[in-house]
Amino acid sequence: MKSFEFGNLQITAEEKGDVCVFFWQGTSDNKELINALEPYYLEVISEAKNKKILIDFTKLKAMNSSSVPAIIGWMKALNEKRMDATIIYNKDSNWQRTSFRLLSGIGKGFNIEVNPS
Amino acid sequence: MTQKMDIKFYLKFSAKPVWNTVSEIRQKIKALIAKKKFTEEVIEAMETVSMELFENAIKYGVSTEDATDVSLEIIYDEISELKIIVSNGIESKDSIQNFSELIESILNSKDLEAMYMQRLNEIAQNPKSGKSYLGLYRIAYETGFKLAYEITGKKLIVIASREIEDES
Repeated sequence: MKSFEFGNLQITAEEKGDVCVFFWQGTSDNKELINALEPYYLEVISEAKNKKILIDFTKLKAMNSSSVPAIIGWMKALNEKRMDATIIYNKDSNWQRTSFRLLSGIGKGFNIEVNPS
Repeated sequence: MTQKMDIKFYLKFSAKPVWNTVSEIRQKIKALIAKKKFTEEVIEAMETVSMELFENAIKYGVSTEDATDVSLEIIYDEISELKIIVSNGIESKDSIQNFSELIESILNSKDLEAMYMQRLNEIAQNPKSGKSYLGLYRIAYETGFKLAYEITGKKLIVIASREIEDES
């Protein structure tokens, strides 16, 4: 499964048994991330049929608010394909804890668990 | 960049309103504020506020006779108030009506979390809805900085301020 790189953001994809893991790393500070990320997540969702999805933000150093619609867009696309998906974030990072606490509310609407790690 | 010694510290950055300056400015700010003896929470909040305001200024600002460049100032003064001030050119007062209405709503909000959540739910309906000013919600809800703004001619000045305990 291919990875994604855009500006200072890298998303590395790994298949571990029946789980596809997407590690967000670096800094997500692009202008309109969703425009670049949408083709990627639609492709990997299509490839990952019948697999569980884990999106791991724990190593992400920082993100801007333009990253949020892209993350929500990915969650929405997972929900539309009825995929079993989980998001994890770093509970020891102040910005991750506050940002993802609210995104967990959005995740509920999409049947996606957003959990601290 | 300049530094003055008559206040606790003062940093100023200026840049042309083009997106490729964002990463460079982020790295400079991060390196400079990391040297100050603030808590990790304050440093993260400063970085978030600086970059959200700077990115908004680059995204929505224009070059005018009153503000050819985007500028960002960080001031930590004698009364332990941290101020992050970002200015950019605007076409007119009317051209930033959505921005000014949003700032007023944030200032008058009794429940910032509910307000932010409502905006996230709107984005969930249509993630590609464009101009979101989500950074302002993020600053107000996540960082503890208070937002204010001034308009001078064709220049918008956004001020984020927060009282900080001196740990130096």
